[in-house]
Amino acid sequence: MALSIGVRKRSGPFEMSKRAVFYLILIGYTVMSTIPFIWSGLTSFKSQPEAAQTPPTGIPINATLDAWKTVLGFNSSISGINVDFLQYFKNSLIVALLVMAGNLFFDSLAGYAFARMRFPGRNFLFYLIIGTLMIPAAMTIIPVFVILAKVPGFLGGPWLGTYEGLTVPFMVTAFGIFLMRQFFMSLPVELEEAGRMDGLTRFGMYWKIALPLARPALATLAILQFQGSWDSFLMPSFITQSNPSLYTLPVGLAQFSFNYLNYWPDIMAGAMVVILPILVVYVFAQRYFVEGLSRTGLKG
Amino acid sequence: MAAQSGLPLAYPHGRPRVGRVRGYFRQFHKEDVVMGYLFLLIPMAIFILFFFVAMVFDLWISIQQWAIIDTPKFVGSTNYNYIFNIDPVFWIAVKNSIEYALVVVPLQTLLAFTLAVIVNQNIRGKKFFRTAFYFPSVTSSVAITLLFMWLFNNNGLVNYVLSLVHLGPIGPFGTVGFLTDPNLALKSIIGLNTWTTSGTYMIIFLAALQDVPRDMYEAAAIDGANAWQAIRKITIPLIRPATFLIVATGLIGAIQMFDQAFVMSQGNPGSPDNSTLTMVLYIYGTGIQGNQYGRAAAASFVMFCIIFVATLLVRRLIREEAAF
Repeated sequence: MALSIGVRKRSGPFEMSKRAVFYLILIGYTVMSTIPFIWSGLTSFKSQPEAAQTPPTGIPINATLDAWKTVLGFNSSISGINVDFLQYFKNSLIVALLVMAGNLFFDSLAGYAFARMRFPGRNFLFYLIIGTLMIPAAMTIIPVFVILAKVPGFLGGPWLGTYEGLTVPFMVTAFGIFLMRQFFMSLPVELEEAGRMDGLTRFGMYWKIALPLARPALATLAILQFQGSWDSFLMPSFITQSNPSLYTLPVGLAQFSFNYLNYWPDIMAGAMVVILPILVVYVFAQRYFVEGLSRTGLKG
Repeated sequence: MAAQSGLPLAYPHGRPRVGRVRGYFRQFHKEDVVMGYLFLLIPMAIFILFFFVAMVFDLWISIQQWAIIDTPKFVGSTNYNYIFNIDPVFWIAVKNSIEYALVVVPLQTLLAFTLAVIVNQNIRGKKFFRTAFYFPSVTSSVAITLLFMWLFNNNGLVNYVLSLVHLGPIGPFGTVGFLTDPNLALKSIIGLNTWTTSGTYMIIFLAALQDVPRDMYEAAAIDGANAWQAIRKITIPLIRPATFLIVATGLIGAIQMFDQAFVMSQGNPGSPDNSTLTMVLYIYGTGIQGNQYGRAAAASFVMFCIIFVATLLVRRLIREEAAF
C-alpha cells in the first residue's frame, strides 16, 4: 500500500466517480436477467385463468400446485393431460451421467496418451481433434442419424430411440481431450516415474497416479459435460423421436409446449423442472463452470 | 533445393533417407507406442466415427436420393440443384441464418465485453453479478425460450407493461407481436440469444481481462490516458486472442441456431411465414421430418462451407489466432 501513494489504487481503466453508473447498469441488468425466472416461477403456481388475466397478478392470489402435479404426472385423471416429467427427468439424469462418465474416462485416457506418451502420428491426431473445434456440429445431424439407424444387430442396433444412441456418440469431445491433455502436461512427471519404479504399468501410472491428481480438471469436465448433456436438445430430439418414453427433459418440454400451447402454468412448471436441477448444480459448483470456460484454450 | 537457401548445410546431398526413417522411429519406446495406441483406441474410434466418418458420409449422402428405408440411388448434383434452384425456401433459410448471425454476433460480443469490463472493476458484489449474468447461459435453451415466450407473447407481461406506458407500435390487437409478427420474430430471437449467450462470453472476456497486467493501466494513467483510451490502446489489443475465439465460436454457433427458432415456431418450423427458418431448421425439416436425406445432407454441406468461409474471414479480420 505504501508504495502506491500517488497512484490511485484501482483495478481497471475507470475512475471511482464512474462507479455509480456501473452499479446502475449492473443492477438494471441483474433485474432484467432475473425477472424471467421469477415471473415464470410464480406463474407455475397459478391457475390457468389467473395466469391469463389482465392486469396480471404478481404473487399468485390463489396459489395452486395443479400445474406441478400435471407435469409430474399425478393429475392425469383430472386434467386429461398425459405427460410424465418424472420419466423425462430420469432419462435426462441417466443420459447426462453416462455422457459425463464416458467423457471423464475417455477424454482423460486420450488426454493422457497425448500428454505423456510418444508414438508416431501423435501430433497429427491431436491437431486433427483440435481442428474439429472449429467445425459445425450441425453438419453431422444427418449422417449421425443415418449411422445410428444402421448400427448392426451385433452391437444391439439400430440405436435410434435407445440409451446407446443418446450417449455413445457424445462420450468423447475434442474440448475434453484438450482440457485433460493440458492438465496432465502441467503435472510433474516425476511422480509417475516413481510409480514406474514401484512396478506400475502404464495404465497403472495413469489410473493410480495421474488421474487422482487431475481431480480439479475432472471436476470441471464433469460439470461442463453434465450441463451440456442436460440442456442438449437438437440431437436428442431426433434420436428419441421414434420412442417418446426416452424423451429427455428438453425434448419432452418442447413437445409438451407444442401439444398444449396455452397451458402456461403447466409449461412453466415443466420449464422449472428443467432449470432447477442445473440451478442447484450451478450454485454449488459455479467455480468449475467458470474454470472450464476460462480454460477454453486461452491460456493454452 | 536446400542448396538455394544459402544456409550452411549439414547434409549437402540431403539427409540420408534410411537413417532419417530409422532415426524417426528410434525416438519411440515400444511400450509407449503400443500403450499410446491402446489408450486412444476407443476414444478415437468414437470420435472418428461420429465426426470424421460422419462428415465424409454427409458428402456421400448429399449425392444420393435416399429415404434410409430404401436403397440409396446415385443422383449426382440433383440435390444441390434442387436446393439452389428449385426450392426457394432454402435461400430464405440461408438469408435468415446469415442475417441473424451478422446481428447477434456483434451485439453479444459488445454486451459481453461491456459486462466483463464492468464486472472486472473493483466493485462490491462482483461475484454476485457474475453469477447472475452467467446463469442464463447454463440453462436449457428450450426452457429459457419458453420463459421468453411467456413474457413476450401477445398477452404477456411485456406487452402489458408497454400498454401501461402507451409505448410501441400498435398492432392489430393493440399489442406488439414479438413472436407472431414476421418482421419481429427473428429480431426477438436475436434479443433472446444476445441475452443468454453473452454470459458465457463475459466469463471468457473476464479471464482474458484478468491477464492484462495492472501496471499497464497505471502507467497509462500516469501518461494522462483516459479510460476510453486505455481500453482502446491496452485492453483491446491485449485480449485479441479471446476476441477471436469469441467472435469465431459465436459466429459458428449463430449460423447453426436451431433450438430457439424450433421451440418458438411451436412445431410449425419457420413460422410465422418462414421468418424464423434457419439453415439447421431446414436441414431438420427436409431430412429428419421430410425423409429427403440427400437434400438435407447437401444443405448441411453448404452450411459447412458458409461457416468455413465465415471463420476464415474472422481470422483475417482479427488477425490473431487463439492458443489452439
